[in-house]
Amino acid sequence: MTLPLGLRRLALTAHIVCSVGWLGAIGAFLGLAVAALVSDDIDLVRGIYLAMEVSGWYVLVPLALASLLTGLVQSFGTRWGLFRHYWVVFKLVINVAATVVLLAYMQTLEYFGTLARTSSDLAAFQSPSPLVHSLAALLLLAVATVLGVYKPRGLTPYGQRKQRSARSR
Amino acid sequence: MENGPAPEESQRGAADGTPHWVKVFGAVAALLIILAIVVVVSGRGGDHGPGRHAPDGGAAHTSRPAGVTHSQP
Repeated sequence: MTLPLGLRRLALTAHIVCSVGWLGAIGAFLGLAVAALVSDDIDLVRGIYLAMEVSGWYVLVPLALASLLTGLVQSFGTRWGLFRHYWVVFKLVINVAATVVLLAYMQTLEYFGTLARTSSDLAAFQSPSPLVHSLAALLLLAVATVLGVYKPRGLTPYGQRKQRSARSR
Repeated sequence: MENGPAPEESQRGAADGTPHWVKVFGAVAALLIILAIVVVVSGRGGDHGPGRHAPDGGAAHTSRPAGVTHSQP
């Protein structure tokens, strides 16, 4: 089913806002992770980990889910489809993988959040984990953005079958 | 994702066969997945998961300290 032009534009705008917003939020998260790793101010570090936990649940997770949802709307509402073009499939895999890892990683952020409320031991917070995860997420989402902009050609076998059947009609 | 209809692949080049960039992407993705598995399994990345940061192996994670009223959305 192809959406009317107005709705397609609205859905595309929503998808770009959510996806690029997610990327930007991870950029901010990366900055927090670096600050937490290099700072020796325990109050600042505890505040950063609390901010990470809150921004994880209220910014990153909603944006990730919204990006996935609006991407699916884009796929099903346009002739691009979900499994017809390799670039769409790769974007889907990246989006799902990043969302699953994020949801799993929220447990770690919750742990750090709890620790930030109770501990003043700076050594307990000196973990490169948030930095590594946010760098990996930034890289993955940057690749997804590039795929979305460049749309490299290539039909999947399913897409080729659909194209052939459309031509034979 | 573009808003308009997808262009015919035949207008953009050959549609048959797997494009080179897909093979490169697939190879890099497979390599990264294997690397991540090796890092996690070998323990070089530490015990993965929330318990990795806990001195008690994560037991503290399951029971919040008294007075913590944090609620998970």
